[in-house]
Amino acid sequence: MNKSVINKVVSIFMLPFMVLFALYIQIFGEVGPGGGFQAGAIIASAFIAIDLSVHSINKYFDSNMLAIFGSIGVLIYFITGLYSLAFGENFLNYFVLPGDSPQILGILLVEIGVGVTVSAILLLLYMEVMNAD
Amino acid sequence: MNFYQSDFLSVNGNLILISMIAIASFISLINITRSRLAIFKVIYFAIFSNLVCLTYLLLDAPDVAMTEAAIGVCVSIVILILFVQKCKPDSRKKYHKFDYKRFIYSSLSILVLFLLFEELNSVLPNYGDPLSPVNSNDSSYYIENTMNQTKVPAFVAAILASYRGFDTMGETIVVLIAGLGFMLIMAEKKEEEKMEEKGVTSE
Repeated sequence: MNKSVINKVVSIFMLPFMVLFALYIQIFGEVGPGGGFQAGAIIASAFIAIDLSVHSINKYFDSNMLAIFGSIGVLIYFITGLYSLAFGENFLNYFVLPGDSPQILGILLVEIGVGVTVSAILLLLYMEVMNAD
Repeated sequence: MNFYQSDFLSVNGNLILISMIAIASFISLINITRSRLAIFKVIYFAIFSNLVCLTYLLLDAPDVAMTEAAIGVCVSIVILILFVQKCKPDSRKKYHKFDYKRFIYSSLSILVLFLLFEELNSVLPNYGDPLSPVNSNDSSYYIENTMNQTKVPAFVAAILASYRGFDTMGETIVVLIAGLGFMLIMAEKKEEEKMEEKGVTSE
């Protein structure tokens, strides 16, 4: 693939801002548009840009590691649901979480799980196609 | 599409924009069949994804528009372009011979579908009508009670993660299963190539 100087410099420059923007969209998903799916897609796009323009990210991201990260995201979601079972309530009942506004805490935890899974799986799909013969 | 809006400018402004988007998406989709190389088809598909993202914005769904722009336009098109590069190159033979029979059959079927669609459109309620069955059963409950029960300002996040949190867990699990399945398909090819190199025959 033709790697030009402009793509390289812009990708390296934009990587921290894209990760920051993805975190912003993740956390402000309860107040405005956003959430876990959008943030995961933006993080995956940042690293795909680095892979296409600068150098291969094979030694930073392994396929097995990305699959484990995807499973960790679903595990975060599941554990937030199981936490309320210990108090005798329904599954995914956010009212037993500590703090003033338990619903906001519950939604935040759940969306973090979704974001981790979506970003890991999108990166995994890209790397599998890139490393094919 | 009939809009239930209260003032003149918002009705006509939306209609003009949506008509322009419809014409542009029709042209880009037609050109998918007319283009010679596979990479051109992928580019026309990316243009169509962009126009769909604009349509979601015009229909007041910013979450869906953001997701379409990030996944449908960026990541999905990159993966398609990689697939096109890894397949063998297209043949140079021109296959455009105008077939009258095929043209007439496809035009007739499109006409029949269009007439069916117009018939449906006259029977269904208007878009955004507050008295339609879609909007009058649950929407008022969510609009009134979301801020009281959960102190979350956005309806979409509250419904997605709190009122219907079980479905979102199912969605996340589906994403995980799709990724793992794809990884298994690609890993099997790598195993076969390694065994061929070592000279092991399959038995």
